[in-house]
Amino acid sequence: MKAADNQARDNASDDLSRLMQRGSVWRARRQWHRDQPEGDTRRGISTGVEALDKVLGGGWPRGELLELLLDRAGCGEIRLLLPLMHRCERVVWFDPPWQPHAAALAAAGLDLSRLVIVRTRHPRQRLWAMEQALKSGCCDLVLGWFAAVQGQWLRRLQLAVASGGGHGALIRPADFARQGSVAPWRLRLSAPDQSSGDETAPLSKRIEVHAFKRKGAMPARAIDIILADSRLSPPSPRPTSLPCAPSGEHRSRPVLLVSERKGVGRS
Amino acid sequence: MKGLWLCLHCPQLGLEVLSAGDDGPLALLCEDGERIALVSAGAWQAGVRPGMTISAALCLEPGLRLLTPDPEVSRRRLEGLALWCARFSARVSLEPTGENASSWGVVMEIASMLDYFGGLEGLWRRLHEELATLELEVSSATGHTPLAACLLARTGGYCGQGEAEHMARLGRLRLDRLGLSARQQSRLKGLGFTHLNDLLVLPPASLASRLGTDLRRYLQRLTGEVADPPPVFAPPPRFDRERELVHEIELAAGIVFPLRRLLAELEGFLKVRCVKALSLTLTLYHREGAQDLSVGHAGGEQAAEAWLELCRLRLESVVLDAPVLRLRLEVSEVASLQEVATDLFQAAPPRDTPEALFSRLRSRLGDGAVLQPMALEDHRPERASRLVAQPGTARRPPSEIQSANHPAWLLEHPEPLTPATLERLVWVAGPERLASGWWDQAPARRDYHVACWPDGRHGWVFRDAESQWWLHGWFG
Repeated sequence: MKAADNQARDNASDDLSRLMQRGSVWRARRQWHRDQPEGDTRRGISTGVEALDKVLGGGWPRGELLELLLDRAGCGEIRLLLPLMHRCERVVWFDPPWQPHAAALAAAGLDLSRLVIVRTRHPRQRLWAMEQALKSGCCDLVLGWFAAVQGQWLRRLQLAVASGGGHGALIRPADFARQGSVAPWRLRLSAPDQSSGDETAPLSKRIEVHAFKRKGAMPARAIDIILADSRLSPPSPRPTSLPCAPSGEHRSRPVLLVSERKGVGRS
Repeated sequence: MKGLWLCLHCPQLGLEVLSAGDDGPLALLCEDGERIALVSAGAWQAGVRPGMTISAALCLEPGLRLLTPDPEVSRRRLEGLALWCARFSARVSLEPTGENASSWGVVMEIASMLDYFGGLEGLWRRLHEELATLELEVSSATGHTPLAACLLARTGGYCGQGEAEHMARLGRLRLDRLGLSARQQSRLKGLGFTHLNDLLVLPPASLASRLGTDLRRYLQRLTGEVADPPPVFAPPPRFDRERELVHEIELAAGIVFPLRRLLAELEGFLKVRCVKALSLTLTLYHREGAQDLSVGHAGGEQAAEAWLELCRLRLESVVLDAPVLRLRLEVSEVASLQEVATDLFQAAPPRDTPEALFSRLRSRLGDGAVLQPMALEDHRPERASRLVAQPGTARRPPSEIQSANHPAWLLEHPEPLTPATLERLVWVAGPERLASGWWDQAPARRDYHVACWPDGRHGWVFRDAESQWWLHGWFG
């Protein structure tokens, strides 16, 4: 009798662990809490902002599709992604909305020989090309500017980035935030109005990052990132071999200031 | 000259190269044009046999189409087969055509290749898998000497490993299948010999004295007592091959299939030459005029599969001017093989090299699609940044030019700002004076400012010499 009980319990725990392996079970303990990030969170390249690292569970997600939804193109996406670009061997941009200013990017410390820009004539071509780049496994960061993307293509891109193992991000207008998407990470970027900003310096730039979809966690509260200088800033020298910088390091970086907005939690 | 040889014999080659997809009853004439040399399956069913006179054949099958042999076309096709064979062996020879001019084949040495293909079974299987794509009737046989392989291939095909097996099989051959001269055949018949075994058991010296040294040398070449290396097939210096299409092809995607064979020959050619192709030129011939396509691979490639993929992508974006009748494939650029250094300890090596990826993108999207930003030595931002199509040429900007406080995005053409827009801007930084280009046709005298837009973005605006305001970029 007792043996049968044990058997049943074993079976049940087997089923549960299988479900958990598939990621079908949400576990409260696994949620990345604002004050105590989990131990296994060091899995990506740090965003350079401690609060954003916590939101993203340790850094830019690798092998998982990221969606950046912009209120307006040009509201700070390049500066946000610049620390990631500095640490990627090969960066490919698909159809950026404007021409990248090569001299400014180079002055910001980006090695131009690592950056490739692909121009396509049609969104379908762009999707195909981006899928190829993600799948190839030789592009560390692939950025694609899109408007509407069919759900089936989002799934294909997600599969491609999972098999390639690099970073892949879709940059889309914020209107598409209301549409469902299979991308495990969805971040909305907005630049608040100039009137409401509490600017600490004339050139500072505040952007709001709201991770309203996260893998394995509840939606995060919107956080404010103040880029202390609206211009592109060269990277501070640091070892590139670390898988992810420990969180304490960012306190010594004066470039980026972080403040938590009070009372705007949107979980 | 013992070892292991493999012969691919094409009994119907002379007919196949001329039939052009015609399934009806066909017959190829002899050189003299009086008798039938080869017949197609359709003609065989009607009772037409090789060796018949033309009138007898036409009585049996009035609809028979007679073809005059064209040895030059057959020879070109055979050379294509020899190039294709280079995937399997480094020593390929064209089968010496005996007195029977319609006998075509290729002999290759395979003893040295057995380890590579995992034994004779592996090679044999792989060879037949790929032969199936060739649209040729091929009979293949191994042999311990080149002549033995040829004989066995002509008489139905055989696959054996050792000398004893081959000799046993050869011994059972009838003497009239050996390709001996008619005079010798009749002499042997008169002496009562019927099979090769009857000759092999005789003492060679007395055989030579009674039947002549030619026959003795023939037997020595067959058994391997005398070295008989066939002349090695020398591939042409340039790869330039054509293929007539069976049907007119109207859709570009339909060219992929006939292209497969040319690319397989290309792979053999590249393997023999120990080079890889960097770019190919594919010419599509219409009834009038032709269309040229070029396909490139930045890193160079040998494999037919990789080139087929690139050609497929290239053809997807092509609209045919007219139906295609003929294909021609040329190698326009080659490079020597270089070993790619891969990391021994890398856990998951990238499956694709960047060159392969960007070649693929270029094939599908066009040559100007893959670009690299380049910073040039100029103070005018629109001239300091350029997108170039050759990756790897980008360089860092010279240090004298300060671009650190410039935005990441540049508008292709500056947009004029209306006074109403200007009123709502909050000025953040500036001015930064730029005066440059008085030496060429585009002088610029501008004061750049950073302004904050009502929606929170930072824009890069300037006022020109005429006091007109322009938006030139966004701080992304």
